Amino acid sequence: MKKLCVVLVFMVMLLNQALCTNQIATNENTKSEFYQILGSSLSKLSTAQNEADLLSVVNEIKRLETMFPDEWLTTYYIAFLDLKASFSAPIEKQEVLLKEALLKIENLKQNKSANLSEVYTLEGYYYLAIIAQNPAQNGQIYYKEVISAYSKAIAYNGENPRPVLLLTLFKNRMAQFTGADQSSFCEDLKKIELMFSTFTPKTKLDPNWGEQQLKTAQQNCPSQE
Amino acid sequence: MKKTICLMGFLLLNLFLLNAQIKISGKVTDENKQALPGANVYIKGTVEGASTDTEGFFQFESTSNGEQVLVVSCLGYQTHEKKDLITNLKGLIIIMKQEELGLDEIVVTASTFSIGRSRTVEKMNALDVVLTGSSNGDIYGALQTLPGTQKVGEDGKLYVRGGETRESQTFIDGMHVLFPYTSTAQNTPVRSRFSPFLFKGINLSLGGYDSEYGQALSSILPMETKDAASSTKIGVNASPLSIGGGGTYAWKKASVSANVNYTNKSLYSKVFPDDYQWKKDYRSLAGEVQIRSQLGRNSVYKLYLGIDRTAFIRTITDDLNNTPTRNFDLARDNYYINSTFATRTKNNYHLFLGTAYSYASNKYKNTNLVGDAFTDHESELHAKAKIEKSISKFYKLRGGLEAYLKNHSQTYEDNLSAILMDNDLQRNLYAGYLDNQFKLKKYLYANASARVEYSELLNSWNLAPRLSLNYINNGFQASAIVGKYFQEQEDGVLFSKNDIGQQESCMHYILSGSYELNGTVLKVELYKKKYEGLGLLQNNAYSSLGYGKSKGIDAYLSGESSPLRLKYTLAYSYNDSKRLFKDYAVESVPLFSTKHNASLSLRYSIPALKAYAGLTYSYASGRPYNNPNKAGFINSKAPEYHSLDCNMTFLLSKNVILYSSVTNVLGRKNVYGYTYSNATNTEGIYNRKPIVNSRKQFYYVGIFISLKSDSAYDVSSF
Repeated sequence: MKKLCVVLVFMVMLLNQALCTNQIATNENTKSEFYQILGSSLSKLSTAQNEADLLSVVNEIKRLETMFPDEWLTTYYIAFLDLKASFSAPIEKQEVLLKEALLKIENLKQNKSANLSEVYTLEGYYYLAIIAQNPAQNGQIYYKEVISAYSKAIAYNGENPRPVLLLTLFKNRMAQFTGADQSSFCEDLKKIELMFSTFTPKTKLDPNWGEQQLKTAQQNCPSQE
Repeated sequence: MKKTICLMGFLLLNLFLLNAQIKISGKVTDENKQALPGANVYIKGTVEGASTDTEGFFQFESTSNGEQVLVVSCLGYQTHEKKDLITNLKGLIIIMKQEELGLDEIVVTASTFSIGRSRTVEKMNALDVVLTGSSNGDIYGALQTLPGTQKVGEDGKLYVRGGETRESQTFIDGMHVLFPYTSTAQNTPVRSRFSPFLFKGINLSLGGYDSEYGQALSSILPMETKDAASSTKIGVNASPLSIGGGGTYAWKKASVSANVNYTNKSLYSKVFPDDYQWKKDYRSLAGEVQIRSQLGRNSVYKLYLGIDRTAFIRTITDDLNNTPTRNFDLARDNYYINSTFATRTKNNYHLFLGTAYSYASNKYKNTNLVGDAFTDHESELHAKAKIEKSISKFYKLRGGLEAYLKNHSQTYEDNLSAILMDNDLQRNLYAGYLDNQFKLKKYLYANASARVEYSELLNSWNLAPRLSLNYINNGFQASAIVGKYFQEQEDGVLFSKNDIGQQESCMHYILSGSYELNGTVLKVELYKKKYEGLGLLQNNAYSSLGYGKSKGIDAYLSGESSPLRLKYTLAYSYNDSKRLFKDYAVESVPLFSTKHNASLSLRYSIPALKAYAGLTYSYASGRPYNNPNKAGFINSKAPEYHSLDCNMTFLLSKNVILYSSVTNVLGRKNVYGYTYSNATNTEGIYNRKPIVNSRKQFYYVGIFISLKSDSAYDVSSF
């Protein structure tokens, strides 16, 4: 009986050791691990109630970024969420958010695995955020940067619906000042709707946003069958 | 049985203990003990962490053990790390320090004016040049509304802080431009050869400038061209004086841009004649091409080529000296090539290589006498290599080498074909510099740098040191700069082949303070310049015994009044200069220097009309001049200068812009000085003629049409 107990103790010790190494093993870098954690963070976005919740998701993704520095998706989402937050943030916060977003976008351009079409879409979105800070002053200075960035994104991937949507929406807003012809606006939005439906992201977590903005813009368009 | 249960219990406890979750907790605040919500707290090397709540508290569980590093990061604050046993990481109080600007983020603005840029607006708007009331769309015209510049209205070139125009040098993408101004007839202001739309940055430095540049005693104007364009466009423009067009063809990573412009004043002179008589009115044909390409992710290559030809024949009747009427014939060819390559290595070294070549050939006929001829060929090859690296958060090192190889030859043949002048000058100058930038402590930065130059012609070495101390705290900056600058004497002096021995030099002492709040900028600067080694003509020979001094105050206020959609700029300069140089008999105020210079610029946007209005009022005290009818040298002062200039820009449609301007709306006859006859008249008095602009007022209207463009109001070819 005593011998059995001793053996049992040893086995439990060994089991504990194995369990411990298992714990360490879960901290090792594995691609599936990465997608699992990123996926769980991104899914929290839809249930986020306020700024604090959104910030908590960004912080989760930042922690993931330090563990997987070569992945571009974490850097991308940090920049994207920072830019989204800057539109409604108080002035003091806007500067630091935009500064970090710009830094992340510069890092993305250096990352060989990054999808350049999505990166330049993000750059256009960055300049849009700058314009939003002070539209009267910044609009006329940065509007060319916005259009230039979206155009580059489209050049890198003509099937990416995001830059096409954002460019169409931006030109529509500008038309209120320039008086350009916008009669084909709803038609263009319909074409973009088709682009979204036929677009397949490379991985489940690759950028796939924009349909919400499209639907909002289509509210004033006559519904077609 | 009891033993087994105990053993089992002990083993289970063991299991639980080893897989135990350890609670990490604490509070994060700033230096004022205010809670920091939204801070990111985590164990380094894991994803275990949490964000602080509205009270700054955080709490999470970790399965790590032993010694770990707890990282706390928050936007706007320096990241904080704490190394300790994981069991000790509870109930922590962490105080975060505010983030300080790194060396790469601070911009010292002492003695520097960047057109259209500010602390909050990073990008230059070329329209800032075009919409400045007095500029006429010209870069140098717009610069003259800044303090530190002195009005020399008949000339139109840049004169800075009591210095001659040759003491201010222009650079594009770091490379020297030998001929930045267009050629014009006498008393007609020049313009910049380059359109403001070429550039993303125009930064005028009024003194105490970087050791990267040299051979400019007063100031430098570095301009940076835009990055590669990303969309194709074509545009044309026309005015009563000119017609032109151009465009850009863009690929994913490169673009080619070209622009052609033909100017002919004959049509314009029929409606608005000037004071001159023309046999062949002023005309010029200019073309430029620029290739900008992104090579890989970290390298940029740019190539610029500009060519222009200017010609006119002016009938000159000199009634002061009663010389026979002659047809002054000018033909000038100008070429400029600028090629630069910039890259950033994996280790964050910034490397730069550039070459620039300037060439001008002038052919003048009937310059002084009917039948004479003057030819002038001047060229310069400039080569430069730079390296830059941020060594740490507190130290940045920059260095470089450059060479200037210049050639200048002139011949003058009189009306009997006798060669009265045959000058030939070859001068090579080599330089190297080292620039150290330090962050001494929070808000305090310093710079210690030096430049070494060797002039082959003068066979002289010189060392130009520069020191600066800067306090930068948000919108407030205070700086003290001391620097020595060298420049070879001008060609007119060097042609003499007299024994000059040393270069001209100038010591700059500058004290500057500026404050910016919500878009309003106030800047005040005090400066003192001491010149030595200036070219001096005495007893028919040149030496470097000339000297001079210049001191003064520059003040600047600019801002915006949002409800009125009004942008304003107020600039005032006081300058006190004295020199003994060139052919001056005694130490005097130089002819180009005026004591007071002031300008007020207003810019008003009218959205209802889709228009912008620009108004500039400029004032300068009277210019000194020499009246031979009185005793002394440079003994008189011309009347004061006043000018009210305005322009209006109309955005007629997405693709059409109409620009119109009038200079000297009030029609004042501004006199810049007097030319006197060579000999006295019958009463023993020298007659005189006032020096005025060839046109008292200049009316201009131009239309810019964009034929193809992705965006709106994009009328620049570049």
